[in-house]
Amino acid sequence: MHSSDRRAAADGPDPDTDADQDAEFSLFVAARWRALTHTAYLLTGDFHEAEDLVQSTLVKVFPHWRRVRPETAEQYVRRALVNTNRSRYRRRRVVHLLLPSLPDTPATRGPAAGDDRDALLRALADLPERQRAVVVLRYWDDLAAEEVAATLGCSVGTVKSQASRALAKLRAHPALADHPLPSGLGDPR
Amino acid sequence: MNLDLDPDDEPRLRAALARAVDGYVPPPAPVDRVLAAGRARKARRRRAAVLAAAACVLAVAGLTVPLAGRGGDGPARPLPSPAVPTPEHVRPPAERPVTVSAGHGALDGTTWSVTVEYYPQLPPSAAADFLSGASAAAGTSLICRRMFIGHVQIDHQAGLWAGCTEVDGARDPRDGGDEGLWGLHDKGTSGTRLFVADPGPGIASGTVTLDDGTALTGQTVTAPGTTYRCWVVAIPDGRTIVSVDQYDARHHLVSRETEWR
Repeated sequence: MHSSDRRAAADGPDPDTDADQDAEFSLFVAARWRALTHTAYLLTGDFHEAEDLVQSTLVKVFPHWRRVRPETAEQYVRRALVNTNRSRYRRRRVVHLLLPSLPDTPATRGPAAGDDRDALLRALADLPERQRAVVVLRYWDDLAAEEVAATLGCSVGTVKSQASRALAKLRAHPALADHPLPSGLGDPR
Repeated sequence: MNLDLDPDDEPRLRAALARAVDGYVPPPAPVDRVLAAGRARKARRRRAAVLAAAACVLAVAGLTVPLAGRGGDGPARPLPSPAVPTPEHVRPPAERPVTVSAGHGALDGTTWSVTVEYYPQLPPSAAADFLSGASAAAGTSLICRRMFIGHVQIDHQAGLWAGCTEVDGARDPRDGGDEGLWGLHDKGTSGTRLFVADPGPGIASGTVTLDDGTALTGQTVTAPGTTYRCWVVAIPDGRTIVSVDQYDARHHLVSRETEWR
């Protein structure tokens, strides 16, 4: 169904429209689940939280799916993902500060702990939430600075400055100093 | 390690991120589970919209009946002067927050307060901080716990809507069960701090016991017409927490936590 058809549809329940919408949404979830979960994993540093984050984001998005244009669906969901993560981050940050024993790094099902991948995740976890989002969207999701700005609801200049600060912090992070990355950011020049 | 800002940084960081996710294979997409939860959420939103529409109809009817009753043979009375509009008057009822004070006082030579605000509709200025503008039209709600120490709002750097969470109507069961320590310094680990809980149903009060034996108790308040609750106590500078206990209405202990400091 084309987006204009979706928007033109009545707000009330319409079995045919709802069925189309459900089918379209299901296809989107099946196609983008893996990519979204990887993005969420880099945002949260924990695969359990990543999967929860993507699920709760998709559940939030579903009621609005009728209004989402196909060409912007990816950006819409990514923005919802970042915003949902922001809420989660704000609510839990003090608990994490006061409970250092809580796993902030991936457990056994993710990449093996203690290696350079774990080091990068720990370094990412220490970035402020917005800088981490910029790094993940810009360098993992490979979005242009303009797209990152649209996703985060800020200016392109803010994206560039946040990316620059994030890179500087990553370079100076002790976890990366302890775990030089042969082909990564910690690679000595 | 000493990396300079140069064009090589970006591909190197991309490679490092790719290595970080390498080996993490997410489980299959839980399409059915997401759809079921999404449909339930959508149904709740529709029910809430119907209830809101019914409330508007009743409100209009309530205004119409007294006006109709004014008819008669008596001399016409002048209409009252229109009130000077203020932002609150101008805003549609659904956009006005429902507020309740969770607690206030003075400590360490300064004042503190916590207020719960419930916005039935996501205010337009908050839309950018949460879902896109489309959700504002769809009526997403917002629950905020506004915390002040010395007239400074905690987390004010994060913007007007810091401390707010998007919720689905007045009775979103996902909100509740969270607690946090908040302050103006060191992310709530030093200085005067506020322990703020948004407890689940059945919690009537909370008591925070400090390292000097002081027991501080906050009574649970609920934002009118919602299930959003809050209790709060203020922790003096230099004191640490030994335990956090929550009680039901009969003062039976419901939970005890000892990990807070």
